[in-house]
Amino acid sequence: MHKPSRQTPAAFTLLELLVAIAVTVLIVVMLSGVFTAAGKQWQSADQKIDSFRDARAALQIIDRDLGRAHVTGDAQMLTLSNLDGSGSFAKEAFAVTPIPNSGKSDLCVVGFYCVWDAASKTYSLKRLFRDSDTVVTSLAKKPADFGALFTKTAANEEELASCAWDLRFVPGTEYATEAPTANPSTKWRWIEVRFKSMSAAAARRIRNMTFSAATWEDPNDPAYKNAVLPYQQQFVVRVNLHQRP
Amino acid sequence: MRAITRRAESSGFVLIITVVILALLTIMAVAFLSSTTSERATSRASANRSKADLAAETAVNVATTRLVELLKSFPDSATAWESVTDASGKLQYTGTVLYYRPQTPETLNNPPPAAPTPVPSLFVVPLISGAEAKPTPVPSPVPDGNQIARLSALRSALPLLDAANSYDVNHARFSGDTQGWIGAAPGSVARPELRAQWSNLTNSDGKVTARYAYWMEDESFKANANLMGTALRGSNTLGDTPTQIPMQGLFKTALNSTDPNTIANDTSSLRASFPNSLLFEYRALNHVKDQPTLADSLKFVATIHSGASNLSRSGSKRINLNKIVSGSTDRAAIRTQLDQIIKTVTYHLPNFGQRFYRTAADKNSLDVPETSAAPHRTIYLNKIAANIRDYVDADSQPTVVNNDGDPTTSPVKPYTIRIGPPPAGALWTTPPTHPIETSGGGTSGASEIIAIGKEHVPFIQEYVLRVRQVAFAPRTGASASYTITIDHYVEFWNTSNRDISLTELGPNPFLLIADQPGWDAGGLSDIPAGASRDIKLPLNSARNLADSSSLVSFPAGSVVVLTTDPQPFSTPSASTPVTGPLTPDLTRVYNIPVTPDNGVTGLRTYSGQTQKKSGSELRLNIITRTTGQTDYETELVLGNDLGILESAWGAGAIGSFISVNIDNPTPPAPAENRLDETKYHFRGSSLRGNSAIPTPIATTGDPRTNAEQINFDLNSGAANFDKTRYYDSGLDSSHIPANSSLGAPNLAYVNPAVWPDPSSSAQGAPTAPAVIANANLSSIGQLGDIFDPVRTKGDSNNILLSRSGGRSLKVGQSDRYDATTNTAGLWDGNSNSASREWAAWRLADFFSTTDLVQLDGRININGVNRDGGAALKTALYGYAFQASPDSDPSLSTKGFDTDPTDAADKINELVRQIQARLRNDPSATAYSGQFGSTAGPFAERGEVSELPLFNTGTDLVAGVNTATANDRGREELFRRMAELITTRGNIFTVYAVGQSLVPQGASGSPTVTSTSQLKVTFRIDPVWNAGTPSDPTWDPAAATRFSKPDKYEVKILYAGE
Repeated sequence: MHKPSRQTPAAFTLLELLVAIAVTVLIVVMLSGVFTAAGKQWQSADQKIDSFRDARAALQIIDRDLGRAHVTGDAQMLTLSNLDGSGSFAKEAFAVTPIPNSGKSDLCVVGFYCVWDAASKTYSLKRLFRDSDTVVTSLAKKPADFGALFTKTAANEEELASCAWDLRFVPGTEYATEAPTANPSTKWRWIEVRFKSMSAAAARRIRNMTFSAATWEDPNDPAYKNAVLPYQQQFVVRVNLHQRP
Repeated sequence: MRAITRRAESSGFVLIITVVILALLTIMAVAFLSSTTSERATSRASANRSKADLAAETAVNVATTRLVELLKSFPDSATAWESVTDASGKLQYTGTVLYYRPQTPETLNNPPPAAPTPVPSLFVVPLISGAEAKPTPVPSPVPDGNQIARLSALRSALPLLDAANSYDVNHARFSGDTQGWIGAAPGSVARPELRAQWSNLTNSDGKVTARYAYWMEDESFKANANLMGTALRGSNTLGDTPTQIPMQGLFKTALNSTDPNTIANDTSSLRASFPNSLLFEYRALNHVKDQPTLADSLKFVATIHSGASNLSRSGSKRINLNKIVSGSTDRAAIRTQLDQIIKTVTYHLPNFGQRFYRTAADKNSLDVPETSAAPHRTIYLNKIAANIRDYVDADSQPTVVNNDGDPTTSPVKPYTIRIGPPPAGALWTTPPTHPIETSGGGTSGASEIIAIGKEHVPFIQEYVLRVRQVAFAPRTGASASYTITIDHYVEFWNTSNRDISLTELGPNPFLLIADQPGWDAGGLSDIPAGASRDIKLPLNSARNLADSSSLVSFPAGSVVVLTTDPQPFSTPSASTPVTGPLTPDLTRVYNIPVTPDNGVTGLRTYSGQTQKKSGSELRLNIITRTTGQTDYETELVLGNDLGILESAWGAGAIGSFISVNIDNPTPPAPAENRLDETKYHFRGSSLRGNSAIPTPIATTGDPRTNAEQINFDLNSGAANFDKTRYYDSGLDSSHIPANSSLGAPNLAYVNPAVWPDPSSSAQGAPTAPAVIANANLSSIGQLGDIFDPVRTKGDSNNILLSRSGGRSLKVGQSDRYDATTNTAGLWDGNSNSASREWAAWRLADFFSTTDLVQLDGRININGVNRDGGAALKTALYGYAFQASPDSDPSLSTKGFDTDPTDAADKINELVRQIQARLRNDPSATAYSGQFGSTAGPFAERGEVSELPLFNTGTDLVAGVNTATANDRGREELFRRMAELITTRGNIFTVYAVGQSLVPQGASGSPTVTSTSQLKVTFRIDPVWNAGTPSDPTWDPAAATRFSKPDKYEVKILYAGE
C-alpha cells in the first residue's frame, strides 16, 4: 500500500513573498505614479476643456452679438470703452444688436467686460443684456441715452466665463488694428477680441493665496507666474462686423 | 488540503490586487470616457451650430456675389416680382426675378448701324438658390401675349422647388403664423410659400455635410418708412423726393386703417425721437403708440432700407442737367454746356437725332445721313440742347447757335454761340450782307443760325403792316404828290404760364423792324428798301393805349401788341366804336412813338411824288425782290444788348408785286385822326407754318415748338394759308382783316385735333400752353416741358416755313404712333424697332436732376404684382392735380387718388394697367393691344409714359380725357412720380437658411443636426476706380463719364435673424 508521501505543501518562501511584495509594491508605486500623472494630465486636460468650453461659448456669443451690431447711422451703437492707459485697446464693449428677445422689436443691448470677484479673487467675463423695449425707450430720448443703456448692472448680467481676465477689444478699419478712438465705429470693419482664461479648478487654488486684482494684470508678478501662468489660456477671435463701410 | 487552501489564498491575493487595479483602471476609463463623450457631444453640437451658421453665411455670400456679378456684367437690368405656374396650373414660383439684356442700348447702336438692330434677348434669373439664367426667345418679348415666352423662359430657369429639394423660406415661425419670415401681401389669409432650392456642401469624401438655401428680394418693392412724411400728396406736394410720400397711404392701403393720420403722426413722432430721426430697425415700428404689431403686419410692404442707384441702363451715372446748365455770357462756356448735353444723348442714343425727320410712314428708317450741307441730326441736337439749357438756366436770354460749324469734318468744326450784338454783315446791321435765315432755311441756304433756345420770352405771333394816306394832292399829273404813314403791328404771345417782366428781357430790350420793304412810286419818289429804314423801338418807351401806363410785363398766356401807330384802329367816329378782336381790349396794345426824342431811329411818314396811280387813287407797290436779293427781307427782332430774344423774317414779295390802293380825297387835319376815311389799308400776316392749313403742316404745325426763325409773308394772298390778309372792299372797313387774330391767340395756329390746347380761345396763365422753368429741374419729368423742334419729312410744302412740328418732348405721355390716338408719335411701339431709340421719354433714362449716386426710397414699379400695388399707391396717396396754372385747368386740384382701396379710383386704374403690362396678360382686355410688344418689366422709368392712361382716349380723372388736357396736365402724373420710382433697386434682402447634416446612406435622407437662419439687408454701391465720374472730359472714349462701374461694393445694412 502506497503510503502517500508527506509532501510539504508548496508555499512561497519568505523570500518569495518579500520579492513578490516588493514587486507588487513596486508595480503599485509605478502604477500609482502613472495614475497620478495620468490623473494630473486628465485633470489638466479637463480643466483646459472646461476653459475652452467656456471660452468657445463666450467667443461664439461675442462674435454673434458684436458681428451684427447695428452701427448704421450712429457710431455709439457700438461702443468700446474703458481704454487702457496707452489707449491701444478697450476693456469693455457695448453694442445695440438684433437678438430674438421678449421685447416688441429686435434690437437689444449687449455688453462684454470682466468683473472682479473679491471672494474668489478672480475676474469673470460678463455679458450685459437689455431687451428691445428698454433699448427703444432709451434711444427714443433726445439725445439718445446710451449711457443708461450701457450701464453695467448686476441684474442684467450673465456670466460667460468664470475665470477670465485681460479682456481686450481692438478695432480695425483695414488690415491692421488701430486705437479704438482712431475712427468711429461706423468705419470699423472688424474687432479683435482677446482674453485669458483658466479653469475653475485652477482658479480655486488662488482663493487661498494672496491675490489682488492688480496681480491679474501684472504677468511679471511672481504670484502670477506661479499660480496663473501655468494654467492660463489665451483666446483670440476677429469679429467681422457685418455693417461696415 | 490545507496546502491547497493556502495556495488558493495566495492566488486570491494576487487576484484581489489585480481586480482592484482593474477596477481602478475601469473607473478611470469610464470616467474619462464619460467626460470625453460629454465633451464630444458638446463640441459636436457647437460644431454643428457653427457649420449651420457658416452655411447660412455662405448662402448670403453666394447670393450677394452672384447678384453683384450679374449687375456688373449686365447693367441693363430690372427687377420684377413674378409668379409663374407649372403646366398643371399649380403655382411654381413667386419671387423676385432679375431681367437683363446682354448688350446695352449704346453698345448695340454705337456706331449707328445701317439698319435697325434687333434688341438682344431678355434673360431671366430668379433670385433664389439653384436658379439659372435663361434667355427668352428672340425677338423678345414676343408680341403675342398668349405665348408669354418671357414666363416660359422663367419656368425653365427655375430649379426644382418641391418639399424634398427646397425650403420654404417664408416658413411659419409659430403655430398659426400667417406672416412667416418674409410676410404676406395685404389682405392675404395665409402666408405664401416662398421656396428656394437647397444647395449642398460636401466634405472631402463627397458626402453632404451641410446645405443652404437663399431667397432674395428687392427692397425697392416696398415703401420706405424711414423716409415717408405725413403730409398728403394733395396738389402741392410735388413728389420730388420720397420724403413727400405720405405714410397714411401705407396704413390705408396695407391695413385699411380708418385713422391713418393718427398712426402716421405717431410713427413720425417715434421716428423723430431716434438718433438721426431714423428708425434704427424695422421692427421698431412695433413701438408706435398703441400699435404693438404694426411692424409685423406691414413687413411685406414696408421697409426702412430701400433705394436705387442713379444709373442709366448702360450702367453709367446719370448726367445731372442741373449741374451742366448755368447762366453764362461766355460763348465757350455755353458751347460746352450744349456739347455736354449732346454728347450725353448721342452716347446713349446714337440715333436720337433721327427723330428730327420722322414721319408716320417711315418711323424706323435710318436713312438721313449727316452731310455738310444738311447736318439734320446735329442741328436737331443743338436745338434740343439749347431748349434744355434755356429751360433750366435762370435768365431769359436764349441760347443762339450760329450756322458756322460742320459735323462732317475731322476734327468737327463746332457751331459757335452768338452773344451780344450781331456780327458784321448780319441782317440787322448796316449794311446787311445776309439774312438770318434765307429762303433755303436750314437745309439749302446759308442760314445764319441753326438754333435759338426756347426761352421765357414773348414770341412773335402776328404781324400787320398798315399803310395810310395822309395827303394826296395834286392827285394827277406828273407832279402828283403823296404823303403816307407806314405803321407796324407786332403781336407777341407769352406762351408760358408765368408773366414775363420787362426786366427779365435783359438790358435795354427793343423791337427792331429791320429792312422794311421798299415801295415803288413809279420811279419818282420811291421809298427805299433796306437798312436805311430800320426802326428800332425801345420797349421801355411803350405806353398802353388804354391808360398810358408803361409796359411792365407780358402777361402769362396772353398777347401784347406793340405798334408804331399812335391811333390804331381808330374809330370812324367817337360815337361809333368799332368792334373786332383788338378793339375791345386796347389794354393789350402798346404804342412806341417813332420820334427822335424817344430814342427811336427811323421814320413812319413819307412824302414824295408818284406816277403810281390807279385812276385818282394813290397806288403804291411793294417793290418786288428777286431770289438773288437779300436785303429786302424784313426782319422782326426782339432783342437786347446781349443779342436776339426772338425774331421772325419776311420774304417780302418775291416774283410779283403787291399794291396798296388808297382813296382819300379830302383828308382833314390832323392826319392821324381823320374821320372821313373810308378805307384803311392793312397787310396782315400771320406767321405761316403755324397755321391749321391742310396737311401735312396742319398735323404738325405748332407755334410753340421752337424759337427758330420763322417766316411771314407780305405777299401771298392764298386765304387758306392764313398768312396774308389783304383788307379790301367787302370787308369791314375799320377792322383788322378777317381770320386775323391780332389781339388774341390764333385759333387757326393750332390744330386742336393734334395739339389740344384751350389757349386758342382764352388768355391767361391757366390756359398758357408752355412752361419754361428758368430754374433747376426738380423732376426729370420736366423734360416733357422741353420744346421739341422735330419736324416733318417729305412735306410737299416748304417745311422750312414751318416753325416745326412737335410741341414738347413726349415725356409723360405716349410717343408711340397711333393713327387715331397719337398721330404725332414717333415710335412704332415695337421694342425691337429702330424708332424705339428716338422715343422722347428715353431721355429720362440717362439724365438726372441730382448728382447723388444713391437715391433712397425709390419704389420699383415692377413690383406692383407683389403687393397689389400697395407701395405705389402709398406714393400717390392723396394725389391731386396741381392748382392752376401749373396744371391743366380741367384737372386742377382734382383728386387722382382719394381712396386706394376703392377699385373705381383712378389710382387703381394706374396699378391695373401696370399689372397688365407686367403680366403681358391677355385677359386684360381693357388694354388689349395697347402695350404692343413692350409688355414685360419696365426697363426704365420713362417707359411709364407708354401706359394707356397717358395716351389720348383715357380719362386721367373722371370726365377729363387726355385728349382735352394740355401738355403739362397730361404729363403731370409722370412728372410728379418720376423721382419716386425706379425699375431696379440697389438694396436687397437675402433670407438665408443653413443646415448642418449627418450624412446617411445613398437612399436615406440626411439628418439635420442644426439649422441657422440669417437675414441680411445689403446695398450695392457702384464704384468707379477713378472715383465718381465727374471729369470734365466728355469724350466717351477717353472719359469715365459714360463708363459703367468698375465694380460694386456690398454694404450690409442689417444682419439678424
